[in-house]
Amino acid sequence: MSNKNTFFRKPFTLILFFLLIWVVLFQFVFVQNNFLPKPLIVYNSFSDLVNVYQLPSNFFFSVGAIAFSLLISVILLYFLRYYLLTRNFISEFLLSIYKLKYFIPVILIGIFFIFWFPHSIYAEYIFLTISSFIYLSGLMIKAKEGLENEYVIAAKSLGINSRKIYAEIEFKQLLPLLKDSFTTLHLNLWGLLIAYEYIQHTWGLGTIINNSIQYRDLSTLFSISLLICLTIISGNYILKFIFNRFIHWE
Amino acid sequence: MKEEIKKILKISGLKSDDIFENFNMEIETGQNSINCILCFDGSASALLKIIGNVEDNFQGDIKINNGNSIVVYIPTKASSFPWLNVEENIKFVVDNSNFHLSNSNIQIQNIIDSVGLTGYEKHFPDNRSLGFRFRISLARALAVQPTIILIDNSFNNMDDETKFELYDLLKEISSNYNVSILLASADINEAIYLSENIYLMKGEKGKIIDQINLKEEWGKLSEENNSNRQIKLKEKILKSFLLNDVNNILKSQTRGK
Repeated sequence: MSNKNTFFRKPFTLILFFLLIWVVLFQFVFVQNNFLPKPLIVYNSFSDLVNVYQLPSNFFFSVGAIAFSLLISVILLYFLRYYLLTRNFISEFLLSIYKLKYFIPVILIGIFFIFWFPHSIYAEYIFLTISSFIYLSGLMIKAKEGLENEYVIAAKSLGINSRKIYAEIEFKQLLPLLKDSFTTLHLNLWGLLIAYEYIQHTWGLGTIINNSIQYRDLSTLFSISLLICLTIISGNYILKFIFNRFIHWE
Repeated sequence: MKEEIKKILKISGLKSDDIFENFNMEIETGQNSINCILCFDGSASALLKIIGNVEDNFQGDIKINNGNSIVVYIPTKASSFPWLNVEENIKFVVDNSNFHLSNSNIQIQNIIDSVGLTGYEKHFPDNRSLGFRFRISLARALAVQPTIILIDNSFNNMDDETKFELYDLLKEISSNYNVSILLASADINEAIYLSENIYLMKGEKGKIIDQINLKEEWGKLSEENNSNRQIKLKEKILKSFLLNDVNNILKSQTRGK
């Protein structure tokens, strides 16, 4: 029983399982349908995806936006850690913006970005970076409130100065929590990216989705969705691998 | 030769939120001694935090060894940094402490050897290994060359074997490093095994209800065998608490078993 559970918990295995069902059902059983394309058509339409929809450039544009925003927000988080972990205007301001996510869908802000910079390719990168940084910093500031303070008390007693306590001890104490939240952030960023590119309709995988819907091209829609899922899963594995190299404590 | 008695700590007129009201205490003891505050609620912890300078919200006067001493507080929960290995934990303190340490005198390897972590210099502390993490906390404390180490119920969740290994280690450290240790505990057996003086503390308004000098007590009970002496001493302590209306002794001692 437990082995079965482990089998279905692995994302790649799960996707392979559904793909297998899809091949069997839609290639051989429901040959005529409007729900999902036939596997053979998807396979044949791959060259269209590359040549007509310009998959490589759009793919690298979107993956680049995700990677850039994650990297820059982590770097910002690292360099601003002292100001985020002490009570000051910056931390209070970021926390209040973070709390807006409970009332305002973040993509609404993205829509304004699209309105202000309709053709800019940098606006998307900036929007995702800001969203990612506010998510991570807000999470860190909020998590600090519930932090067990044994490390801080011990450090204070050992004569460690408060700057070191915030920047070295509390920050390190919070890193495992950030590591766990990174998967959620990664997924949320992909959601924002697809919606942003879909609306802006200039570059990226969201633009391919928009085009495929306009052309009623089910096989492209299906294969691009599959590609996005596989990219997200691979991204999560890469992020976990990187974090596990650096954050080995609980 | 008569042992020199020194005053290591004097607290007068201590006031703090709901816990202490005009609290006074003096610890006069021999060199390198271990003393214990036996208490069944959080007041002893609060007192140790105040003495250890990690709690600022109090009024009153605390004098430690003529005022020129370094006091280190070791909290109840494990506090060694899990992101640093044994050696780095100690080095972090040596490099970043505001205490004016004479760095040339600090031999990190010697400290590691003293706390029994030889061969584990590059090991990272595991969250579950409380004994290992306590040894690191102790090593970090020794790195700042303290006069007093305050230990706040740190042995609570350890198994008996680990506890007794650490008790013996504390005795060794106290004598080798010329350091006094003040322990907050809710375990009578622990207090008897480790201490030179036991201060019985009642939580309400933080009151010391009795002081027991173990050397004197052993002398009075010299005709009894070791086991009987312990039992009688334990009875005396319990009686003293019961006379002073301290209710939660039984619960706390059962939990300690």
